[in-house]
Parts: sequence; structure tokens; C-alpha cells
Amino acid sequence: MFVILGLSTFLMRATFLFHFPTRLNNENIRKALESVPSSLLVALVIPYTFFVETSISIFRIEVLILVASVPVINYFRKPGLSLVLTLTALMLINQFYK
Amino acid sequence: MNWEENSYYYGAKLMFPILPSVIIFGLIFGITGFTSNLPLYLVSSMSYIIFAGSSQFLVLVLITQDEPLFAILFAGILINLRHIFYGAALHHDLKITKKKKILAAYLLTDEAYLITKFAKKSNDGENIELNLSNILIGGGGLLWISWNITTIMGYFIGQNTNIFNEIPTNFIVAATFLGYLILQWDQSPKERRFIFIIILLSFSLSFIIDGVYLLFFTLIIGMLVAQLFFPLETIEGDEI
Repeated sequence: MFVILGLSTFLMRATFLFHFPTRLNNENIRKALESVPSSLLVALVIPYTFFVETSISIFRIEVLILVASVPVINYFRKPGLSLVLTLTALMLINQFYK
Repeated sequence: MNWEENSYYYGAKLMFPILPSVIIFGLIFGITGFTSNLPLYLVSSMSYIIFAGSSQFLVLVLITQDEPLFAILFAGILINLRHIFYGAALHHDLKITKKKKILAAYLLTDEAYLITKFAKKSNDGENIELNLSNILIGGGGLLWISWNITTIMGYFIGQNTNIFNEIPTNFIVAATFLGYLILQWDQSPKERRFIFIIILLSFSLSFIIDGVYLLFFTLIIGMLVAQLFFPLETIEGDEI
């Protein structure tokens, strides 16, 4: 099963990497493809921050930490800082308020 | 310094800030594998055969829930469908041999795709010639090593402690990519209208669907919305 899944994953990654049909090389397709990074980032941040499954849940310490970290991350301009900073804050708060 | 020769290193360097999250994810995956009563060889093999974190977690959860084989395969393939778009988006940027493309395809994860696109965007207008395929392979290679080592480490940690049990997985996912979303917003002022609309859409969709379906539909709707609100910039030499 893992081999089938691994092979299918590889094929999905490789298909258009190897051959991109000319008829797909137009402005609309490029717009769609260039939008993928931003859409992916939004999909990985917004629902995982403010929702638990399909229920909105904003009165949690995790949400407060993530929102409070935005100006700090924006100031330092270091994307890798977000996980280190927020995880440290969460573990410290859990430790002191346990 | 000859940047083309050093682009494997540059790719690894770009991947480095993401490594803390990869390490934590890897550890948690290994711990989850242990707590799911799966043998180490099975858990670690997922990391080098599948090499796709989100589908690995999903498959692990479905295995422990005794879901049918076809359902596990279907879910795993569905969550990885976004990789098709990565290959398409990078097709024109990777001018390499077929053998190297095979390696690049194997290493083409979310993170490797992001750093490659980030490198291209950051290099626009600069005189330094970057080899984006080397960046992808360098960064993806470092990611592969980290992911596989931490999976095994996490398994052994799971045998001896439970310190990560209280940290929600949702939090780690959001915290990992929050920095990149902020950077994307900051460095692409023309895209801000599009990003804002996708945020509203993603927020609205989250009341109805979650998990892999939310990710998939956000990408699809994002592509449709991009036709109206995404500012396509024509780069010299990058013909439409």
C-alpha cells in the first residue's frame, strides 16, 4: 500500500514537471498556477488557527499566541521564527499555568 | 562566489528556517507511529517511500481506525493531488536532465516548492544566476534527511516520554506557515487583494469542510478567483 501511495505521489509530482502541454501555456493557466503558493499558505494558516474541525474556536491560548506573534514576525522578517517563537510561548504558558 | 555551483547549498540554506517545524513534525509523526502500535520499520518506511507529511499522518490515522485499504489509498491520493500543480508551476523553471528531474520530482514537497518559488521571486531583477533545480534538490535533500531521521527519533521518544502529547497538531501547522504567509503579504503588495479574498473564502469554507477537503477546495477556488484578482507579472524571458 505504501509503495502504491508513494508511486502515485511521485507520478503526481512528475507528470507536469516532465511534460507541460502547450495548450495549457496561457495567461489563465499561469494565473491559476501562480496563485497556488498564496492559496496554500492561507489554507494552512487560517482554518488551523481559528477552527477546530468545522467549529470556530477563537478563545484559546493558541489563537492568542499566533495572533500576538504576527507583529513580531513581521518586524524580524524571519519566517522560521514563527514556529520557534509560538511553540516556546505555548510551552512556557502551559508550564506556568498547569 | 559562483551561485550556480553553490545552489545546492543555497537551497539547503533556504530550507534551514523551515527545519524546526520539519523536525517537530517528524518527531510527532514518529511518536504517533509508536502510539498507534505500528512497528518502527513500517513507520519509517512511510517517510522515505511516500515522503509527504500530511498524507503520512492521514494514512497513519486511517490505519489505526481500521479503514478499508481502498479508502486509505483514496484519501492519501486526494490529499497529494496538489503536487500536480507544483510540477506544472515549476515545469518552465527547471531546465535539467531527465535523471535530475526524477530526483527533483521525488523531492518536490510543499516546503521544497515554496523555497524554490521564493528563491525565484527574490532573485527577480538581480544579476545572480540561480539554478532553481539545484535549489529544489538541495533544499529537498536536506528536508528528506531531517524528516527521516526525526521520524525514527520520534518513535524512540514516544517509547520513553509524552511531552509532545499536549501540543495540538493544528497549532504546529498554523505556526509553521504563518511566517511565510506574513512574508508573502509583505513582499507581494500587488497580491494582497487576492490574498485577502482567499482568506475570507477560506474562513467561510472552514464552517463547512475541514482537513484535506478544505485544502483542496481552497486551492481550486483560489485558482478560479485568480482569474479576476491575481496580478500576473510578465518576467523577461518567461513567455506566455
